[in-house]
Amino acid sequence: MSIEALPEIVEPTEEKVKEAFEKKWNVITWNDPVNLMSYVVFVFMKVLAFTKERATKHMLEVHHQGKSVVATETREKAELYHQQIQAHGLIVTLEEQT
Amino acid sequence: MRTSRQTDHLTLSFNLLECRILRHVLEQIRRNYTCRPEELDPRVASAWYSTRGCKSAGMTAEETQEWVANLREIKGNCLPLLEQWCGQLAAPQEGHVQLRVKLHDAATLLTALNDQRLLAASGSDIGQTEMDLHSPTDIATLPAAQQNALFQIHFLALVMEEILAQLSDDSP
Repeated sequence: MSIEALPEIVEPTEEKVKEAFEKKWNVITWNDPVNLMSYVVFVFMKVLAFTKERATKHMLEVHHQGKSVVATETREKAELYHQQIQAHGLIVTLEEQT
Repeated sequence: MRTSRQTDHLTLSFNLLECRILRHVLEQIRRNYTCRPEELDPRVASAWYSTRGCKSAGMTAEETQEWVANLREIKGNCLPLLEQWCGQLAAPQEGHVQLRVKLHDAATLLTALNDQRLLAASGSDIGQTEMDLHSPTDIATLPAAQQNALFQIHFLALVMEEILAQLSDDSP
């Protein structure tokens, strides 16, 4: 392997590092007609470690506005929240923060 | 139904009718948790294993497949507890049945009951309009399948609310 080839390998790695640590992702929970309001509060407290007051605020935002950004995190952590919230039966999406 | 909280567990007491319904529900959940998403009613699969979030996150097909497999594994991990609870509900005593649920397992029960509510709603096309019906006269205008689904959804909501009330003072 020639030395000149090295930067071509390093460049995409830096891009991935930037993707993983610098770009932030919004975790968005959406309203649905079936999930109980008290259960949504419970899920936010359990998965996101919210206080009851904060969880209730986000639940009401979901209920009245149709959705709520419940976390803004690195890709890895946002994906973890995405999976955990959906595993509890809530509708959740990820969106790159602009 | 009555609920009480002890040091490390909840005790849920049901009459025989409530017990029979809950046991049927838990057995149905247990069966469905063992199914692959493609084996489920597509409407149920889209509620439990929705890939909407994967699409919004720009995941590849391979990443999405892995993500769904992980989600299924999470559900599968609940099977031993579901079996244990079905066993407890199989032994009625003097007209009532008690279900003992350890506090750290209560979230699993809540999620399973909620999954059944989602299943009943998606499988019978229950949306906001049907959920907003409260009077028996209005509910009676719905097809029988939707009436049954609504009954189950509201019964399970009652059970969930009782459990949540017992956990309401717990901090994360």
